[in-house]
Amino acid sequence: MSTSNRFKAFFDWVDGEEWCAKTPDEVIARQKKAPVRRPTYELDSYRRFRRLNQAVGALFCITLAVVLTLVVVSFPPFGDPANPANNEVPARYIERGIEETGSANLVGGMILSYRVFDTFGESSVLFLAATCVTMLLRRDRNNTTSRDLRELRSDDRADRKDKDIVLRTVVLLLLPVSVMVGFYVMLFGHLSPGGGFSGGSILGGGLILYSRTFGSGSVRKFFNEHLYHLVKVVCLMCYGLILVYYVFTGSNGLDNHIWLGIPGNIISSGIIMPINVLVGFEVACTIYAFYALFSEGEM
Amino acid sequence: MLPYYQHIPFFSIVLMMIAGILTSIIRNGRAAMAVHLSAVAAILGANIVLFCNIVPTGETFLYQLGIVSHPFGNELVCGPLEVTLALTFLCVMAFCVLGGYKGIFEDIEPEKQNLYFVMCNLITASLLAMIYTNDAFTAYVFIEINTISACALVMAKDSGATLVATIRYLMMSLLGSGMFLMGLTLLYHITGHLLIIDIHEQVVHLTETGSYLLPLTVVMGLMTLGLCLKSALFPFHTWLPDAHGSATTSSSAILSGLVLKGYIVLLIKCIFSLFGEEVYRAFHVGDVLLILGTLAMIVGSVKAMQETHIKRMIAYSSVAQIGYIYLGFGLGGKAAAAAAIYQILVHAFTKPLLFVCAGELSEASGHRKQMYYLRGAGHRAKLAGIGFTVGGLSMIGLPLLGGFAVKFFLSDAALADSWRMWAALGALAVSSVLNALYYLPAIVQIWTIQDHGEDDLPTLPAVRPGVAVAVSIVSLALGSILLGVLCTPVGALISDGLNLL
Repeated sequence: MSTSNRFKAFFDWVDGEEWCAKTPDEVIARQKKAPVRRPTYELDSYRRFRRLNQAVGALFCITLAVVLTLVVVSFPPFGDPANPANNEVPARYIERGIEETGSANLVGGMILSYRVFDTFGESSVLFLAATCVTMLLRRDRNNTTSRDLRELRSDDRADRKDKDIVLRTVVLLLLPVSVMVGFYVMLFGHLSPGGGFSGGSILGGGLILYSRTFGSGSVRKFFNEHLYHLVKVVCLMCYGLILVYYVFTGSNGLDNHIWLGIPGNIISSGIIMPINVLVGFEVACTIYAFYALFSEGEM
Repeated sequence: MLPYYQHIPFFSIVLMMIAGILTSIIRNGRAAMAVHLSAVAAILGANIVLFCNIVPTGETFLYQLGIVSHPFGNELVCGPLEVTLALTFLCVMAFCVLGGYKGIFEDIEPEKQNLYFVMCNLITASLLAMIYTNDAFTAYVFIEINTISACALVMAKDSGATLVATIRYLMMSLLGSGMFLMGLTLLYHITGHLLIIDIHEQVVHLTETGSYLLPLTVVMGLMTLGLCLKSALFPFHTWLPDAHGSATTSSSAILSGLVLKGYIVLLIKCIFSLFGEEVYRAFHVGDVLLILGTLAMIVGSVKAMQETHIKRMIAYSSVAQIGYIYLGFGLGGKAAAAAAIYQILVHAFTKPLLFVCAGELSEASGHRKQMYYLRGAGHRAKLAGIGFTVGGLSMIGLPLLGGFAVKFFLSDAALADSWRMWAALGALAVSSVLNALYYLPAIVQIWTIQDHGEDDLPTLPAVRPGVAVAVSIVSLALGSILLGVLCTPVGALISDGLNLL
């Protein structure tokens, strides 16, 4: 395009002429041509700059690493009593934590009593992640073709035919142990390291193991999508209700009548053990849902 | 016992989350939408009560979450500014969902429609939590919730373009969250607190004694950068046009109008409550924001002018409008920050209005979004055309509309400082002209009567908007007009609220 044409095009466009009928043909052509945009990764300009992008990315990472190292070096040594982090807050958690929360596991006491609201948020993050995966991967007509379904069915048949005796025996031996460990970590979360998140992951791992060996159909006999939704929602709702009660009484300065028990006993620590169990079941469901949706697109 | 209204912030957040959990088992998409809207309406009512109780007295209160008092547990804070923002966000949320509901039920698979409202509920909960929190870590937890559900809103349409856009959005957004978290961890190491008020005391103490200045600088940089990435400040805006341009109408409106603002609200908390304005100024973070903000105002508009896809044009316009907000923070001082917050409110009403109207106009043009095919769309969908005109004129800054009030407040605040004044006034002038250069042609285009002799566009029937869409368009347009007409009282409300922060 010559310079004068360019100017004319510019002034036409300033006047709002570009989108009207009496416009240069090329403008109309341009606007009609591209109703569907090519994704960025297909553009030549993007390919050309990808190398530059990598260089910039590497530079960014190195700079960040250097800066963060410098920052960490300028911190006081780990465990120094003069650290700013050693103030009245951890002191109170350590001195009065057992008395106030009833939990022998101080970390459990902190995250499920002093900071119970944050932990509710974190549990919701897991719920949210599972919901997103369902939204994306659950089979529907957008993401599944009849060929995918045929392949899934033939995989399933092959799995059922292929009865590996060694694998099955080992899994049958391992499964009770992993389920037991899962429940132990969940139920003893207020006494020893562990809690709902870790116990639930172990339990979910057990489910995945079972599903992997005996086929997802055998899991579906006792844990189907209906039960999954039920467990997930009931657990989170109960957690939410406990939180509401606990916060409402706490903020009003009322006695919440939660029996803390004797720290160290299995039935103790007020709301912490129930929440651990609820979170544990929710996490187990979520972990298994991730596996099931990623591998087969359904529960 | 506390006065009853002090419980409202906590119950709003928890009720929204419980609504989100419940919607995941409601099979019917329309029932899920009803649950979402009634939850929002209930909370809106409660927050109006809260507003009436605390705004006249200017009361600010802390709400302890649990059994332990001030420095030991989670906490919420609520003052006039917080409740004003919450009210705006709740209104806009309801109108975004109402305005795009046809799109939701057309674009999303029937068995997954309820999940869309799970995301809407959780986004509302996280926005409320980000507004009301007084705890930096709670803020981070709800940033996570916001990030994931915002990505899901883009993804919901499940086409190739939205999936690519989601991946880009997710990467950039996670990078932002990661930076915020890193900053927060380092900040805990040097201050020993997670509650914003206590961190502020320690930060002031650190700057007075001059210890840990390097970590403090890095923390400020990381947290600001993280939030800028997530709120699409230039040059971190690259994910925005794809995400907002390709998603379904409601999603674009929610993302542009609310999600970006949530992070900016958090940045306001960082600047004014967490670090304190003097400290923030002393470290020159504001200057960086000023430069990036002015660049965003110009680059965003230039990119918008080049677009022929109406939703991408509006999305690029968001980049420019976000620049106005950062310009306000960069200028420094309470007046400029109040102007920036005013822009948050105005943009929260105007951008969803534009997206909803663009959705309607393109529906009236056979679901095509190229500008060329939108000719005469205003005659086919009159209400949407009027709404788009009001929104566009407000963006340009016509007096009596919200955009004008923002530009007025910003220029007024800029006069306080010499070199910043020239940067700000120049950028405002250039960007207003640029805004006019792409909104006016678009408005002219949608009101041009089709000339059947010369073009090859098919004759399309007029489209009657549904009641929900009409309510949404009228309310959003009314919001942006009222913000322009009532700029003095609302501006006073914001600056009073900001002083109490």
